[in-house]
Amino acid sequence: MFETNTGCWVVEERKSSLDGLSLEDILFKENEENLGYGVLDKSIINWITLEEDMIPTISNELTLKDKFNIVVQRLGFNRKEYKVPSGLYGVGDPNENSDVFVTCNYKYSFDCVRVGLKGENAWILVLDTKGINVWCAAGKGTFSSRELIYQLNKWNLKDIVDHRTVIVPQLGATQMEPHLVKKYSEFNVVYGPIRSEDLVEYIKNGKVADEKMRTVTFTLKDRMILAPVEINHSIKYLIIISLFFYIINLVSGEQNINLILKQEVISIVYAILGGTVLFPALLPILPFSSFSMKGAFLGTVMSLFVYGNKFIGSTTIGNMYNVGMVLGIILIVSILGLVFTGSTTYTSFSGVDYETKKSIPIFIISGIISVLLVTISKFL
Amino acid sequence: MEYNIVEISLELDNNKCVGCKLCWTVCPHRVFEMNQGKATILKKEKCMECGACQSNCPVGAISVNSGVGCAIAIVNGIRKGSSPCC
Repeated sequence: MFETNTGCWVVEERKSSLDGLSLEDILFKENEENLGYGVLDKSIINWITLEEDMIPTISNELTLKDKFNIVVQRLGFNRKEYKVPSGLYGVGDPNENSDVFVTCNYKYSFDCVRVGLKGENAWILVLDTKGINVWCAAGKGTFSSRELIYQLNKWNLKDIVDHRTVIVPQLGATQMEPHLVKKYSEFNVVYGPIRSEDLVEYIKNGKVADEKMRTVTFTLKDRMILAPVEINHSIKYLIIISLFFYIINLVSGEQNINLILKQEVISIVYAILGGTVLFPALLPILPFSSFSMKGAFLGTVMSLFVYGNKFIGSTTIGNMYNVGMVLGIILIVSILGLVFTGSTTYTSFSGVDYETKKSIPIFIISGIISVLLVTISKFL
Repeated sequence: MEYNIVEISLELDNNKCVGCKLCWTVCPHRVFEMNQGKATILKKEKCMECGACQSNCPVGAISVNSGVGCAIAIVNGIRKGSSPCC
């Protein structure tokens, strides 16, 4: 796994993430980010002194600021910077027999875990995932055997707890190799539940997770909570497309520029809302397996609903415009549908790879046709 | 909800399996079941190819074309000439 010069993380083809690495290689980290504890501010209760290290004990409660920041995260703002320092934390009054729960350094995830451990005396070991949540980081390779081994060694967990178990969240398993973690750190990985809300029950059941705790869902609530971020990411494209309409209306000498531009911008907003809100809401009942096809279907229904009657009694030039707009709306909803594959809990890599490569040429051609039809109709 | 676009690449070599149950434990869609002490694939169509089973198997009995099922990551990979990334 390496970082490219464009700053994106790439997972190489690998048999193991630790192939060819010695313990020395694993324990050496270049340019480690040193975040202060400032972001945890009022949540630090006291400090435990362990040899040379000071370990903060953290509250199980969220402050008003924490809750506000969660809303900010869910709206899609400031997401890459919302992180806590990696390393060891305590909740309650942990000692050498207390369990060690592993999580990532995305503050929202960290907050979920410390709240989920309310009433428990435990250690929380935070891996440096560059502010990314557990499941995404696990997919990318930043939440991995390598990072776990690194943190276990860096914080000398062997000297802090007498047992040799770490509890890793189940969704952190993607690039976790328990046999290698044991080899390089002496610690045994066991997997906790998927959801932090199940932690207390998991502990109460003697650290056994039931099927429900081990199954990922994608309910309506799970899907709709993603909508604000999808809308947020679409805003820049709304601006670009609106600018395009403004320019062609101006240059073609459109008489009713204010009215026409308003209708066109509303059409784009309508398409974007279709792709970011309606699409996730209706996902289980949209036909076809392919997400771009589901989007195209929804886009077709949505555009005909609004543009359907405009075809009646219209001129050829008018219909040229209408077809261009309908095609544009279908295209936008279809693209947003395909983009949504990255937010689901069940789309396979092979499937998304296949449909992305098939869809892109169709998107490009449709986009060109849509732009040409709309533009030419305005100049005729 | 299912995603039937192409054949899922998940394969399990039953002969290599030592019955550690890790694949069954980690699978977010409960694709595996334990049968007479060994793992078997119960619901291949539910597999999202995350690769957790492959990573966790101590004896390399599982292979899957793993990656993240994210169109944007795949597009980024094509643009940058690398494997999918986000």
